[in-house]
Amino acid sequence: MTRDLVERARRGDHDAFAELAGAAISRLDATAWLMLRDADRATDAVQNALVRAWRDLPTLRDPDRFDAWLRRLVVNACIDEIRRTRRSRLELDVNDISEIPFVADASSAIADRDQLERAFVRLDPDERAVIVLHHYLDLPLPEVAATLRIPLGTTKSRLYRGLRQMRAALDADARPGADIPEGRPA
Amino acid sequence: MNRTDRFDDLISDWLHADAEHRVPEHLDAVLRRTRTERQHPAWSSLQRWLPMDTVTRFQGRMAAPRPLIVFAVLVAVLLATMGVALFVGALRTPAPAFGLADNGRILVADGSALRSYAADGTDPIVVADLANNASDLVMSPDGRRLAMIVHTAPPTAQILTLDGGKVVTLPLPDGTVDIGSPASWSPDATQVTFAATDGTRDHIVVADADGARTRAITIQGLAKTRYLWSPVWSPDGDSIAFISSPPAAANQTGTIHVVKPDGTGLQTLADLDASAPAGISWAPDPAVRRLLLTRPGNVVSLYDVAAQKETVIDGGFWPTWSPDGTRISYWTDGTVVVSTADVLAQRMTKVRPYASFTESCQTYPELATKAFCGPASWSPDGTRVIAHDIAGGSVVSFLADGTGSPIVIGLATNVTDSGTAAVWQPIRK
Repeated sequence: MTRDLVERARRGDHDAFAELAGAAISRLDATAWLMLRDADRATDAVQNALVRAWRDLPTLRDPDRFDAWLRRLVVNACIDEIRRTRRSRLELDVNDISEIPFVADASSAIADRDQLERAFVRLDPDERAVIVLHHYLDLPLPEVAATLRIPLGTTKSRLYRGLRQMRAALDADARPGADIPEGRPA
Repeated sequence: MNRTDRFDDLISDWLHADAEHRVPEHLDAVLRRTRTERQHPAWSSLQRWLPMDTVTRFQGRMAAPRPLIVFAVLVAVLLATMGVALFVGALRTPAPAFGLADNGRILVADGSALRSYAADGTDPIVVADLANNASDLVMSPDGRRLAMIVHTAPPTAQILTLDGGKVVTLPLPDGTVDIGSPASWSPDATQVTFAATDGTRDHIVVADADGARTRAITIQGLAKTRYLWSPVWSPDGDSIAFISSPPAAANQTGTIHVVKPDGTGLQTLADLDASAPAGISWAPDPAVRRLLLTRPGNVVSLYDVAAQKETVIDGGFWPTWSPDGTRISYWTDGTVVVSTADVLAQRMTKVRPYASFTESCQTYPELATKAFCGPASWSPDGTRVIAHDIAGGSVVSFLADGTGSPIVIGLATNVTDSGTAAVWQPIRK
């Protein structure tokens, strides 16, 4: 079915493309949001990726790879956006976590989310991409590697390094005395 | 469930929870944009030919080029273009020297000295000592070097660089006992060819002008016992013409051949006997493959190699081309000059730069400094002809149209043979 839609869209059928975009936009938007942590830039990245997808769809060599191709367009747009933002020394606009609904309980959940948020935005864009693709889109690591066009070993090491940094950030926050006032011996 | 699994789950849960609130409302905006966008043809995008990741990343970074990067890229492209141009220029073979040039200095082999004179015969300079006498001077097409045969035992072929006076003796094939012709330059002035013999068979020799390498070319399809005469390099550099004769030929007449410089592609100009010692010469224009030759019985002839057509010019010998190939000089009761076009149209008008005479040179001692006794060399600008005079005691320069008075350059030593003792240096711009 998807292949048929892709073939039609490649031939210029805009309704077919609208169907494909409608089916994919939620996950693409969430992926961009998770990577960029900025709603406006995430929207821009997704829109630009979809426009580029429409324009370049006739050049796609294998229609069966449409999903991975579209994901890659969005992820690469996000990676470039993060790098551009860092180069221009702009601060990431981290949303106020109070706006974000969450399910259950607890003060511990708020603390975890806050810590995870802070740890995540410190990661390299490549590490963010691997974590989002693997832990949000639930792609197996070989598929992550194929999406990002990097070797499987590199994918594993980026995932390991990214998660280690996040764990270290959480551990540091949880360490007794971490909030010792400045000037006192530990 | 171990600690790692729990942490992975924590991350997954956080990401999914974090993404849940996203309700994209911009699909319509995207579709409005795409509805007005035209799709690229399948062949038009790099994505069709290059890895997708490379293309999308490249496009993303080019979206907002920084001025410094743009400037650096432009400078790099400019430098690369200049580098490629220099590289290609260095590889390109210089165009063969052809046509008229300014008159440089006149070089004369005068006994044991190679002398140089200004074009008007003044300002004599000794360029090099010629302890063993040299003859058959041949100027390179670029006017920078002089080839000559020096009469040692065995003779040697030498190349003199005019700027600095450096002399290189060309190595000869093993067993060479004699050199049988003047050297002929390749049009790019990097090589010369001449005939040589080891006493039992003759060879066509090709030598680098810097002396780095000499080889006797093996001519495929030609009997090894034939005598070989007067190889001359074609102006386009693609072939060498020469004469071969059977060893028993009493009158020294032979057949003209054309062969590639590597010895392949032998072409025999059938039924065209030539006086072997008189030699042959190519028209200077690379676009026309014509040869001047002397037929047995002293008949000067023009042969079109491509059309395989012969045009007889006149009874005579010592034919030479003007630098641009538009005129021909030869000797018949003295030197005459004719137009090549007139020859081909068979409506020839002879111009005599000086008074004619019959019989041998030695019987006219009163014409010393007034007439030639040898093949005429042309000035690079095509206005004059020079050669040693009838008594051999000077070099005489005449206007080729027969007007004006000759310029006489006195020699310390009489020139007694008919080889080229004086040549004119072209100055090419």
